[in-house]
Amino acid sequence: MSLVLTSIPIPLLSIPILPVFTVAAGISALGMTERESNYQMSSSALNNILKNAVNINCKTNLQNTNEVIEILEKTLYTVTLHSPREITTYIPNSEIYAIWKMGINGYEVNFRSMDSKKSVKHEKIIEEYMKNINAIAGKDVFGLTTKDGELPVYSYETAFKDKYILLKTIEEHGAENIEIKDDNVNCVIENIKFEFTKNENDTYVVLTYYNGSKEDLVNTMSNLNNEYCQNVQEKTYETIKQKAQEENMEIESEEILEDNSILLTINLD
Amino acid sequence: MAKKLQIRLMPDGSVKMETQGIKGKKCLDYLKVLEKLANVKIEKYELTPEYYEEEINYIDENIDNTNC
Repeated sequence: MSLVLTSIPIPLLSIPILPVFTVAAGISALGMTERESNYQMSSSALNNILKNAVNINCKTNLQNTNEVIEILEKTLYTVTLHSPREITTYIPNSEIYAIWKMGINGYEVNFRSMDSKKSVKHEKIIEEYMKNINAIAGKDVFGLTTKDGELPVYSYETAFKDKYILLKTIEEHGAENIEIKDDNVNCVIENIKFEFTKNENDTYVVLTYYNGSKEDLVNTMSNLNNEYCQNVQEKTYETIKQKAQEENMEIESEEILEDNSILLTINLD
Repeated sequence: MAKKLQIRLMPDGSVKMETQGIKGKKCLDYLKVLEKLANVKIEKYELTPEYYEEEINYIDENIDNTNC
């Protein structure tokens, strides 16, 4: 034999991963109109002041401390490093602190305000803060957000590329309320709302809205991934059979192997 | 040795192919054949010892001696 080829057409889901956002309590904050401030304080003093204040937690997809510091320093917010994995930034004229702490899957930001009455204003301030961070980082650091009363949002990157295989997969999985707009697909499966959106790599990112156990969510995603892969295998099989016939190539034998792979042998003589 | 393509459709959706009985650089032509047959993009390939073997072309040596 002279050549071994491997080609990967589509699937391979990177399973769950980035819970994007969780809301801790009341809400709010934000903004940042002025970028200079010399305000600094110790971690304990900060915690005392922020006691009973409204706060909001937001997960990010940043894991590298140096990257976080580099981004924050570029914002011109006052940056205070309390420990190797805890960084505080003060948002000028807002009474809001953004406290960056390393979580299980990456940095999480806790926005805290001393004055809950300014929640509406704070919301805008936090939104502006996020926009600034994203602009400086050159990517979506925070992902999507959700507010109190809304279902938690989880984001998963998939290797799904083919809309029609995706549709077949979700239909086989009992999807309801299927909505299709261009390449984007929304549906509900097992009480989980799914929003599949194509990203710049031509693969689907899925947002899920669900307030049940995360284990259920992971299982459903895993099943969807497996079924999508099977559908890709099936479609590839049909494509090869059809193209071989069109090209007058003889498929000498077909065999299903123990690992559920399908071996096709084409005679070239 | 008979020339064959062995195409293996993996359960994860990936596709693997081996050529058999095709010596030398000609085997690379089958990259495009697989792309066309399976409608896939080749992500990587490995050369096997057959790639480095030369294909022997048998020439018909029957000589027409009618003019001799």
